[in-house]
Amino acid sequence: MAASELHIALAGNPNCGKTTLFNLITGQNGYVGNWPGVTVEKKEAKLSSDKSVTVTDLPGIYSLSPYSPEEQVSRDYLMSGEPDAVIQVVDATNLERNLYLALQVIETGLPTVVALNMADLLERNGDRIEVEALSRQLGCPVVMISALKNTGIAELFEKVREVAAKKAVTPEHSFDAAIEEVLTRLEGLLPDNVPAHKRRYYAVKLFERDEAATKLLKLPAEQAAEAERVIAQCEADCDDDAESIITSERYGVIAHIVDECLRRAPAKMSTSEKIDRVVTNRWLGLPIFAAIMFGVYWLAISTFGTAGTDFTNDQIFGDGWFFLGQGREAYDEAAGAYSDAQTEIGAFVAVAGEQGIDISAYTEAVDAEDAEAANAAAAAIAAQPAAADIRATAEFEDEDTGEVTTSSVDAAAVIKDAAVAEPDPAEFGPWVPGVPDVVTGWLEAAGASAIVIGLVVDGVVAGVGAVLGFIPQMFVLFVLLSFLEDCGYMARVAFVMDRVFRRFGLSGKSFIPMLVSTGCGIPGVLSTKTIENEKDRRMTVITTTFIPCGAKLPIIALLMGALVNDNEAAWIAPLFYFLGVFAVIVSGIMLKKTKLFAGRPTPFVMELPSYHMPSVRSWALHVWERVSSYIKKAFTIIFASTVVVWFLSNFGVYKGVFGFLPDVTGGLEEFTDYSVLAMVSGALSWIFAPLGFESWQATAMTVNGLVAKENVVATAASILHISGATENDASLWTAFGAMFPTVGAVAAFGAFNLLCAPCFAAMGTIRAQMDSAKWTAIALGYECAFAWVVGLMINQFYLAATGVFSVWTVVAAVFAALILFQLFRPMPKGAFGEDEEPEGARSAA
Amino acid sequence: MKTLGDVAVGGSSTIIKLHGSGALRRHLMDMGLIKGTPFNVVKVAPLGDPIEITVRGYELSIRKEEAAIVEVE
Amino acid sequence: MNPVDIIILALVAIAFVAVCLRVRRKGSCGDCSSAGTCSASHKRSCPAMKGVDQVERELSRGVR
Repeated sequence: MAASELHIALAGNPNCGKTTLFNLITGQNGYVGNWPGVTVEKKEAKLSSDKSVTVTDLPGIYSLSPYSPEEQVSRDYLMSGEPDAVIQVVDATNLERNLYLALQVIETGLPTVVALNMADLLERNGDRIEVEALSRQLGCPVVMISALKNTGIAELFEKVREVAAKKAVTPEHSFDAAIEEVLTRLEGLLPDNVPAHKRRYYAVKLFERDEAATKLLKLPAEQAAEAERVIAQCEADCDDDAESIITSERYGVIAHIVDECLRRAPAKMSTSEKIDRVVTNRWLGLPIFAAIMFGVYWLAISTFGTAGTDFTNDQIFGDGWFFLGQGREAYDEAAGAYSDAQTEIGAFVAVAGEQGIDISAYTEAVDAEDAEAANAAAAAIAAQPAAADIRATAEFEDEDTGEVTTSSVDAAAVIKDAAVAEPDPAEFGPWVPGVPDVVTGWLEAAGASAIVIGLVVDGVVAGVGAVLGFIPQMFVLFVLLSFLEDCGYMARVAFVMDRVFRRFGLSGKSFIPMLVSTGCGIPGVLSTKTIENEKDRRMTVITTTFIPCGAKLPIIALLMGALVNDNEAAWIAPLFYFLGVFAVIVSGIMLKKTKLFAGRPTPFVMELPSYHMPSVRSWALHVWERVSSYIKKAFTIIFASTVVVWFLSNFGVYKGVFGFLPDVTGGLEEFTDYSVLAMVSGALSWIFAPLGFESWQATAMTVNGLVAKENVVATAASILHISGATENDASLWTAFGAMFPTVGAVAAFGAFNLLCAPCFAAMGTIRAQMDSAKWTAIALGYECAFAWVVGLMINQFYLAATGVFSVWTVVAAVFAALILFQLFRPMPKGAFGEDEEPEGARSAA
Repeated sequence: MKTLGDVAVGGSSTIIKLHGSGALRRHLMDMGLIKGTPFNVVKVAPLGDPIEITVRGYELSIRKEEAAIVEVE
Repeated sequence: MNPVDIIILALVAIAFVAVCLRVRRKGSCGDCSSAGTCSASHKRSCPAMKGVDQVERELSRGVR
């Protein structure tokens, strides 16, 4: 051991920012174990800036009394002679109670530096702590730091080295004269081998009748009797017991110190506070939050965003578009007339075929997708004398209203219809063809074979394009969320949540990562670091990814498109956000009642930042960072995934032959059913059968979603393109919806994908944050199980509502009953029991 | 004897004495509940337990059974 | 197989391998170098998180 090696103990109340400071100065590279003989966690690490300094993080405690194992290990360690100095972390916003422990630590005679944490918060109210006066009063250096903002740390260690060189400091603060006299007499009774700086500590302990501390002194019987006499006399004089006397004296000293050093600003009510009176109101707070989030998702997904996404998905990555919309109206009219003419021709030819007229020329032309030849053939059929009496009925469905109108078609009409040529959009205005068409055109011109065109167009362009297509919605969502975050509203939400949910044992602190997670789950999981209570932290890590992150937004948008084809039920999209919030709250309440997570809620105090209009620059930057990261992901991980998906769904075994399926199956329409992807996904699809989506396609999307959530949409687009499902109907939504048997199944699919284990990256972060394989497994297992149960309930209850019952209906009902039971049963006895950091009093055990 | 648990929500009072002995008593004292300390009862949880009080400038939640040993004015 | 097929397939293959290497090196989440297991110390260098990092600081300021 080098002579220069230094041991520093970190002491402080629970939640004073001690753990944040420890993580900051050590970079969390340390060793975590137990203190000898007890199940109290011991954390030790080298200072990251100086490896010769070892820092030991003591448990968060309120006092050095002998009654709890945390307090015992702390004082045993302090008195062991190992630490050279103590950093006493003091929460400036709760000076009185924090100084109570500080006084006791100083009393041990160890060189101490008080780190005044969160003083910046206090000062924002206009209050001020006079550091020099405090330092003088306590008899030790005081340094203002902010563990969160990483300020004052260098100065802190400078002071620590200074005091550590002194080895021992005799405490200076003093109690009431009468008590001081008694303590002096007790000091005189102590054996001579007690060093000067420790004599006061032992005198106080002797006075408190703290046997655990004084048995080390091995006080001779004569002195012990004399001490007892002195104490009893003092107790009689003060009409109180010794413990109370000392506690009162300490708080008396503190009251004096606070008087001297804390300058409080007069209370005033600002505009911010006036807004907060409404926004954080006990009754209005949550409804206001719900309304705001509803508005955000409604705007992003159902209104503005949709318009943009419809454009990108159906036009840029669809058929094509008119520059600035010029000519769109005329083209739509012409296209409508053409489509009506084709409907009439189809109806007429069908009737002609039934009457024994040869229509093979027409059907061949249609199969060959040769519109001109088909029209010519239809005109030829109509021109036959046998067709002159045919009267067919054509049905037209109005796309907007769904109304069906019919008209009678005769041969003359068909000849007229056959003359209607397919309109070329380029003739109506500045036409820009869709990306898939352009790419197909290039590849065909270059002479690429079908397999390569398929890979590029159906695989890469379809998959990556589908993800990129959601950028307008992402953009609107992030513009709105960034505003709410920057202006200071989001901070209020955690505050409101805290008020409501503390009664369920959930801390508002658990809602901060949740708010961060609306952007991305990874920083959400990382931000759980601010939660010091380990059980609360683990619970928050498990639940925080239930909140739909940016990457889940396309899933929501896709679902919404599939659930409602028109915009009448635009309220569906916000519901999926609330499903996430609901999952967090329900899971929190349920988990809190289990042995793994029982414990008092972490006390949560939050100073609300004042409202301000965010600067346009930082706002724009904020949005751009999120959108650019989304785009980057589309071109990297999503690209790679779609290539894999394309190969897996185009190659497979058909009638014992392995190969490129469109060739091997001889142009069979459902060739993807024989693909490797179908085989692998099909083997897993039994898991999702009770949820209503047992098709291999849905399973493939779900599994791919684990790589990155955008993959759900990318895979859907890719599979649909490959199988040609999107060719006849331009809309991705409708084709997607058609893969599911019922609306309930679509919703169940969505619920499962939004709630189940997050993407690989987030899973890695959970693993890192939990720092335990067991807890990672618990987290992912719980998420998937919960998602499955929610999906099951949605699908089965939907089926039950439509009159379909099965054994799964019963299973779903049982799960629902279990969840309700766990939610509403009273908090089990002892749930607020002897855990590590109780804010209130522990039970007397 | 009037205890801390008897103070109505919104009410305030001053501590006269802590009864009992051992860990609980010492813990309450360590939290600053000592003779002569004023406090406000801020709120009571749905089933009347725990009680939340403000004392010495911070919020403390305390269970009924614990509050029973705190005698107040 | 035409020459153009081989060129396109080769391009896709190269891009695919490049992405795989990138994911292996930098992780699939964003752009940090710790493969999704990033810790607070890497946060500064992660463009995907710079924005949210700010938010987290904003939100967790004054929280204890």
